[in-house]
Amino acid sequence: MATTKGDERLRMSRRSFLKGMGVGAATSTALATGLVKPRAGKAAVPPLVEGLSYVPVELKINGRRYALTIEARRTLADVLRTELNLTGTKIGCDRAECGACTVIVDGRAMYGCSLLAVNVQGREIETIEGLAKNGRLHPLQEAFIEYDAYQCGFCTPGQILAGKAFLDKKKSPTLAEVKQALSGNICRCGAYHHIFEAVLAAAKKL
Amino acid sequence: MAAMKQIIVEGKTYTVEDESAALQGEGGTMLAPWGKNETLKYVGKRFPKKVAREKVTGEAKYAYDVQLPGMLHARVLRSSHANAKLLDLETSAAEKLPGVRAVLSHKNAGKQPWDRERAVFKDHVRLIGDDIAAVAADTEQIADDAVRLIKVKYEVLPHVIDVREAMRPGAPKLQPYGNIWEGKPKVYERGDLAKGFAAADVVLEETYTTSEQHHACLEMHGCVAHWQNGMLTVWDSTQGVHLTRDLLALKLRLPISKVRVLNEHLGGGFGSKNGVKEYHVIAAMLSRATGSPIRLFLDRFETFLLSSHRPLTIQKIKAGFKKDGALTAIDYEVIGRGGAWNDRGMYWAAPAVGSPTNELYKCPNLRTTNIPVHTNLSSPGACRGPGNTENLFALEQFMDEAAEKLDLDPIALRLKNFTAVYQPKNEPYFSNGLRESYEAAAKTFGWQRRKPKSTVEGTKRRGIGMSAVHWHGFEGEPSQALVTIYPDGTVEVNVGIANLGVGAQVIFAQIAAEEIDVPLEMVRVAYGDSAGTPYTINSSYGSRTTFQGGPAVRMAAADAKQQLIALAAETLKVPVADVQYAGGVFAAKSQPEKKANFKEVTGKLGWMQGRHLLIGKGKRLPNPAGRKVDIFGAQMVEVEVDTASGNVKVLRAVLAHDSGRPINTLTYESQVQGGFIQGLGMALYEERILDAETGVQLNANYHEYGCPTALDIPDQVTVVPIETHDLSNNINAKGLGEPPVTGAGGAIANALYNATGVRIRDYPITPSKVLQALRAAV
Repeated sequence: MATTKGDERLRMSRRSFLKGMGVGAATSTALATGLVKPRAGKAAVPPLVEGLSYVPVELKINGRRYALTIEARRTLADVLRTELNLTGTKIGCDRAECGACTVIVDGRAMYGCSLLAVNVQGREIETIEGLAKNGRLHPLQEAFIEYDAYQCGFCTPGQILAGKAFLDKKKSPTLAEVKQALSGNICRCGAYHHIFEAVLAAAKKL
Repeated sequence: MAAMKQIIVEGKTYTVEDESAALQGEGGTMLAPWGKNETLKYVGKRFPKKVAREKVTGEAKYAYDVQLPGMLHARVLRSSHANAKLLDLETSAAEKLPGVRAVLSHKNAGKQPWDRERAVFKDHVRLIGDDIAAVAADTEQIADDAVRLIKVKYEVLPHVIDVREAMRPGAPKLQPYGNIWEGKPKVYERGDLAKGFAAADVVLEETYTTSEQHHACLEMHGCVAHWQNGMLTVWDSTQGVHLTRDLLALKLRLPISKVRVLNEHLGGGFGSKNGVKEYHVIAAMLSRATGSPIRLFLDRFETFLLSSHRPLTIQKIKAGFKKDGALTAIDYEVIGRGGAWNDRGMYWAAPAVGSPTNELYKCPNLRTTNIPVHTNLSSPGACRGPGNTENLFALEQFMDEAAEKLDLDPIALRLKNFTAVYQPKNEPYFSNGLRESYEAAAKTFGWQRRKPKSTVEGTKRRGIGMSAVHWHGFEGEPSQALVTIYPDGTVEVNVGIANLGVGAQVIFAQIAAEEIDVPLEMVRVAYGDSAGTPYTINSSYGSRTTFQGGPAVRMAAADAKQQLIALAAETLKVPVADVQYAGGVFAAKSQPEKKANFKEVTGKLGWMQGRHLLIGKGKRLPNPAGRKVDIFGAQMVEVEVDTASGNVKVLRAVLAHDSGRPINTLTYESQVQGGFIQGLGMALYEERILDAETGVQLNANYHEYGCPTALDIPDQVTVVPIETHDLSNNINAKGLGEPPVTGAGGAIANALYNATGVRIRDYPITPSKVLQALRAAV
């Protein structure tokens, strides 16, 4: 089934999406590896799809329009990375827990791994690649460098976008508010202190 | 043979190698360590990382991001039993699925060996998750579908998950020698234990357990492999391009020159990405079978289950003290849970645990018993500060308990047992900043205001605690580096390292800028490609990258500078000995008007000038013999415990670390804070929870596993560098990455006790354990 732009029925919030899909998605991952197969000798769970269902999709990313034909089951994060080579959006868990796939959709930070690409047609999508304008870094990007607010850097695009969506709406935040705003983005290297400092410093420049 | 000299430490005379004679590189270049009070321009300052812009713009390409034309995606079928023989394997349905390009298993992939006891694809699986078959397909989704179409018939055999059960007679025997690794515990002993305990005024015995912490790197484990024209190229999520290259060549029986490993950016390693795993070999085999590049990454569930983890340990400490606090004897035993296979994981399970007990405190009579036990699980591995972290989480709580029993301040007890000598080999340390660390931490933290009982406010109680920090340094394996000077004046440091993200690139650039005396902006760093870099380090483990590679970089920079001076002499038409260089200008000492700036001299390079690039070579030789490098520190925390919920919150921390000379004080701070946060996670939240029956991890996801998030972070974490003047190498560095993890557990548990009067000896200190203990204490 082809979807049309702005089809309200397909617009889901992350929460309602997760309710319907999140647990199922996780289970299927485990099934795929054979790890939770219940008993010896039982047949493997049959494939979820019979044949492949491709749909045309039009996405608006960083102000540019992209027309694609993709499998309907693919997530926004997967399509950004695999079809458009926008690999700044990372995938760390693929089930809305780590925040590495954070993108901004219509001004809100959302987990790209838990949005189907077909469902975000017609919406303004911002990824990390769109943040610097004409080669000039966004103040948050500059602050992340200055304060050494990353180590391995794998969570960094997500941290910066979560910070941007937050600072776009909140001027002069407190430390507690910054922590709350970034609480959906795990930094395993533990660079949190420098991340907080960078966000607070950038807030003063915006 | 370097000259020997005698030094006196704690009243005893030791014969050691003289550092001024020993610190030469290959070819006889001599570079003395920087002086204690030497003024340095670039070293010891705050500089942002060299590899920075691409990380904040999303341009950084991790192995996870590599996409090649015609690339296929692979998934692995894994065993669903902890011990079973494969009776039948049916792959035809998977092979027929449109989009599937190859299916490999023990049936068609022969017996591609993995190690001395197993093949890559098993026909007898020993743990849930063992590799059975692999699929390459056009998309990851199709590969997933195909794996589900493979049918396996098992003959299920008995298995064992619980470590105590595995030690009982009659437990399923996992190895010919039994379930204790290589048949018997590993024992280290010194002095006379019975005599030591007889001399004690106070004897204390306690048992502690630590949990299976997982590395939980954001970038999952995997690689992209391309086997083309007999040459294997691998873009790998690895901590070391050279070690991965060497091991892949060995496993696949290829000449080392036919394997190339690249790593431009690494999304977290923490000890879990050293060397190779089955997936590397599977990706290579699938690439050979299909002729296409293969992308094979574990998913998050597989990563938690299989990529290795810190072992579960049960540690019994018994120690005797004199009334004044002096240790007379320690009897220590650690049981560690290992995996099913006889691999390196068994070393990490227990033999690696215990070095702080052996080394940190002066104790003449000691026995350490390490018992690594096989179970039907995946192997543990090195996890940031391996061994020392597990051990210090126990030992530093024990010392606090002993201090209370002896009615001594916890720091006083530790100082009483301070030693400047590495006891297992009876060698003095090059440097030991432990005393300075206690002192500086106490001063910054306000330790003297410590109250024996907590402050109470409603259900909230506050307390403070401390722990020592300890990590073992290394002997300094030989390390190579190159420094190339280009005609435009660019200085390029060429090092064989991956990019863990801790800032090795800027650190090496600072060292080169310092030695040559050029602005830091003119220095770039080439790294991350096993085919184009020297052997700086096999893999970045053990907190050695700066310690090992830094001195080689300094040597290479010095060599390049010597060659530049010769070139300047030629340019100025004066003898080499007459040239001096400072602040970007070469000048003749005899005729100061004769001068040339840096770029005028480097402009003489290049093929059009009949010259090529100027290449400085550097090599680090081992540390001067007879002395030991160890890394020390002290951590102090204040916690708030909610007696209604059992929740423990760390309010502030002071982290004083002796790592020799800090090279970059900005990235130093990041490392220490980050390490402490990982330790905090292990102390309070993190644990692989396994199904007791099958061994499947029940919380194999970020949500339930519990890595610290922004909301768990103390508002204040103060880092205090303790600068010891270490003479083990020419940059005075000792290592920093791992020690910050080691102190968190003891400090937090001791603060919890200070706040509430209850001891939790079983990590992680979860709210339910705290509530239970509070209830029992009433």
